[in-house]
Amino acid sequence: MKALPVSSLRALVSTWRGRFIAVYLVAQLLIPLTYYTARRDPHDERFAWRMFSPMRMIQCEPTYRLDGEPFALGARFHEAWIEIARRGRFAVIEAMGARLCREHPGHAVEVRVVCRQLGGGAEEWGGYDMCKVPEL
Amino acid sequence: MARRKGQKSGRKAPSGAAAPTPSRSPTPARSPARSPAPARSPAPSPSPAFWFGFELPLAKLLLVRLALFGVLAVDAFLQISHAPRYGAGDFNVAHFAFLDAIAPGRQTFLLVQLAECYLFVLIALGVLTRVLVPITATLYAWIYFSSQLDSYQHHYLVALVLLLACFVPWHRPAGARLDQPVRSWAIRLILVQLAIVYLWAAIAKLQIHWVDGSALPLQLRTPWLRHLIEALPGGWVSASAGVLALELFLSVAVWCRPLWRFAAPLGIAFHVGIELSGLEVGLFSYVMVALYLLTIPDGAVRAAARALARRAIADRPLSPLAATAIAIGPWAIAAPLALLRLPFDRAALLLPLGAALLLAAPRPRALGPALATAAAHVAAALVPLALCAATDVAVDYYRFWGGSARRLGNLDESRAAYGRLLEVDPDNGNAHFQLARLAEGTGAVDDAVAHYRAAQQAEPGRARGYLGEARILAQRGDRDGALARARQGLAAEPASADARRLVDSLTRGADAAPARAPDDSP
Repeated sequence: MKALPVSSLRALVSTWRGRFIAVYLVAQLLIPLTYYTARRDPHDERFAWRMFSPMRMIQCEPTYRLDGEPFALGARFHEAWIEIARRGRFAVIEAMGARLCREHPGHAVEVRVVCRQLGGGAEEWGGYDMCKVPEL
Repeated sequence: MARRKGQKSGRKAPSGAAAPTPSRSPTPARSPARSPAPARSPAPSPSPAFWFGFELPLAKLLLVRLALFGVLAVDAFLQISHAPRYGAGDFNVAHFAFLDAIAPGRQTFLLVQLAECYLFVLIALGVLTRVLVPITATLYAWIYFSSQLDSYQHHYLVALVLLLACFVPWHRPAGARLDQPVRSWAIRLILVQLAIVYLWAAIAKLQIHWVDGSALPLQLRTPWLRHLIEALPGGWVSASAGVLALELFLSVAVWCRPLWRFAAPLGIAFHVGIELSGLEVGLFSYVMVALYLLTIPDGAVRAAARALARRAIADRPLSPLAATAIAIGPWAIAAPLALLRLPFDRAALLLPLGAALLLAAPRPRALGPALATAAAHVAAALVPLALCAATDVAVDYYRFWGGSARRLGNLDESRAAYGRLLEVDPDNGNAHFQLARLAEGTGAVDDAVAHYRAAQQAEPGRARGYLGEARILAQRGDRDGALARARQGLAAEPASADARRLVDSLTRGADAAPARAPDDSP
């Protein structure tokens, strides 16, 4: 009886369909796990099946300063991207910073992100020139 | 030695496994007279039977095909209004960096969604499913994964379901009985995928803000649902615990056949409840309900199938020429109509027209009865037209395009978009107002006044059209005329602070009126 799971597994991976199923299932178990173990951005819930999680309710305020002067994001980026940035998605905030660095060579692009937690506290990232340190 | 196509692994069938359809497609031999095929003799199912012995009635598969791909067709069309954000400002962040280079722009996104709408209807009606499902799965995955603009997890789920759907025998062979069992490991995997979603969704809620009931009220805004939950014993804590328990239960019940009698009503009620709660999940609830059709009892499906199995047109002979004419005819009528509202270039019409010609070409063994195929093309052509007429997608497309281009400083593009919006909706007050502002910015004051007046007519309850004209009159030195217009604006929208401010400043004779109307809408 103990050999049954092993023989079933062997039977499963002996066909391309079975191997596909096995790889698919392992991927679907491991990819969401990376959110809890390896993802540096807690707001990035992509591929983790965190539907309607409390994290979704966090509101962030990204501010960009070009040589110390406030930069109006709305004049450069579509509002849909700004909305994603307001959810604290590091990848998008960093890409915006990188774009501004490319468009304004030799200038400092300072990015600061403040996120209000559900419990009432706040977390802050950045506050430095992203042209020199491109990651939050 | 490699196995030949269609050759089975030859493993022992599990005892008691009924397995009449071992191949990918439940294909009984096709007789020249197209008479109903006899029931196939049971064939052994390869091990493990959990995957490779999973069966469902053909009728259920066809029902799910119709519902799932029908919903996806509607969803694809509704996505068109989001097209203007793609490629705007020449900025994109893909889910995977290597896809940035092939991310779609506005026009590409629009055309792909339109093509998907057409193809999903064809699939829903059973046309060339083996080819069209992989094509639509690829298009869907490309559009989804190449931009984080779409980060909806339900769209990710649809991308995965479409991948798995490539391995499902969706096609109904000629003569196949509706109550005939179909074997499909991919359908089993789709159900297990749903279980994985529920499991991870439940795990994500195992934290203090969900368990103590503080997160759920922040997400539910619908008043009646809030009142209902607050009236429960335990209120939000009970509701939060209930959602968590339900997700954990469904993570088992959705793939476990003995539990389907509970999973189907609970799952459908859960997703209908999500839809009614006003959460912004697009058509996700309907996609899930379509997938839950897989869990309704087989006996009920078979009974309904027998009652509905009155094939009216599928087996009637039709000449290839007639079938092709039927497929092309609606396009000849639909294309000019489409140009009136649908936001794409004329040349783009050649693509679906070419596809219609190609797919309607008579290849009976691949496509099935010609008339059914032609009818499917008619439906595929009419669905986007009907959706265009019944929704604001075209209006939203131009409105968002114009607004996006204006904010990003592409004023000529914005002017063109608003101009097209007026072709679609001549009485659109927002288009007139924005065109007035754009004209004012270039010094075309007479054009601006004309558009402001048109905005006044189109938006009788808004002050902004009156205020725009009032400012121009004030700048021209006609203070009395300006004051009269500003007062008309205040009468139209008494709550408008801008109107009150302008009336006050003009009454005082001050020059404090702002030079431009406020930018207050997309």
